[in-house]
Amino acid sequence: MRQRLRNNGLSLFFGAILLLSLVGQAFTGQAFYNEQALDSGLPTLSLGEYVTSSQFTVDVAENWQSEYLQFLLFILLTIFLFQKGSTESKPLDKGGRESDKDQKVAEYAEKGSPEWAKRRGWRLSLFSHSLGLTMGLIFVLSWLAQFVAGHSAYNAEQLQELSDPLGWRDYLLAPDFWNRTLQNWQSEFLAVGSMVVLSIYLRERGSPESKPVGEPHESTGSQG
Amino acid sequence: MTSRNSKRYAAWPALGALLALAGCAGQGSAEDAPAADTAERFTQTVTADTPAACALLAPQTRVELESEHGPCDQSLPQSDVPDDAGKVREVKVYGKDAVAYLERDTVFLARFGEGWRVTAAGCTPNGDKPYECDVKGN
Repeated sequence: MRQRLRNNGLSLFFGAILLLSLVGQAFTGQAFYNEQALDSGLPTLSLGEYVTSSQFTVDVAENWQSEYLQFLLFILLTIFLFQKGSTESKPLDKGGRESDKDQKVAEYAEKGSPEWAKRRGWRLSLFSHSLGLTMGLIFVLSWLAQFVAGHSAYNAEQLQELSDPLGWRDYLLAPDFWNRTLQNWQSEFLAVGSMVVLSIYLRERGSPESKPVGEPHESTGSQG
Repeated sequence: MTSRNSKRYAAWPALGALLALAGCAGQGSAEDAPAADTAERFTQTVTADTPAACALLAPQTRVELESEHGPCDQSLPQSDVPDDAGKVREVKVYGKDAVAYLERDTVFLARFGEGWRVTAAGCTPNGDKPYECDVKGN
């Protein structure tokens, strides 16, 4: 049991703080919504009503879609783009999809290799792109969730302000949808960019996200 | 960053819940009829049964009306809210908020614990700006 906890500490920890922060977001979001509702003499929402509302859903979805877009772009672009000296970049001589031997597929697969990596065919092709496809699919679905829930939440606000609601096509072009989208995208791109550049010159001893402390700045793709 | 890969399978149930919430959150087809019914009953009783119409006003809207124009039973019939605005042509519901477009008026509503109540009535379009409503809350 202790060994299992140790071996899965990273995912368990992040899973736990994800849940805690979602719960915290639910409580604070409900309080904020109800504060405004009371000021306007409008109905308040119970916690159950709030977490099943379009207001909560759009606030969660707009953050999730940008996180998965960040993963998708980072996974795909690091195949072809480099940053000399960064831990987040492949070594400069390893561009592209690499050889079957380097990737341990088909005849180069090892005994412990995943089953779908061992034989050529559609399974190998699908598995070879499963990470990017999964991140891309989750990004598209969570952006769609942001759009649907955002449309509803925005229109509820419109009605509270005695204005007409927008149709789907008008909301697709609305500042609310794109402001929510772009404010999340910019922070994700900043995070990746920061990590790519800062990892060239700065160190954190013991972290796999850092080069070894004594590793030269020019060294690319090494981890501590 | 490679450690994030392990989270991708855990995301599926959460994403499914998110999509379900997005699809059913706010779109109130089950509430269309009750909201429309309240709007029609309100406009039909403005002069015919004013106490009943006053009871259908949202609390804050009634407070605003009475603070500016006196008791609701007397001030509501004298407002610009049409006496019998006709049938509801279309109603749109988003969560606890709704708008009913009647033949001769537009009425905004909100769903309180006791049911749908009118938050604004006697409303006329004002271009891209909010409707100008004769009876409304703050």
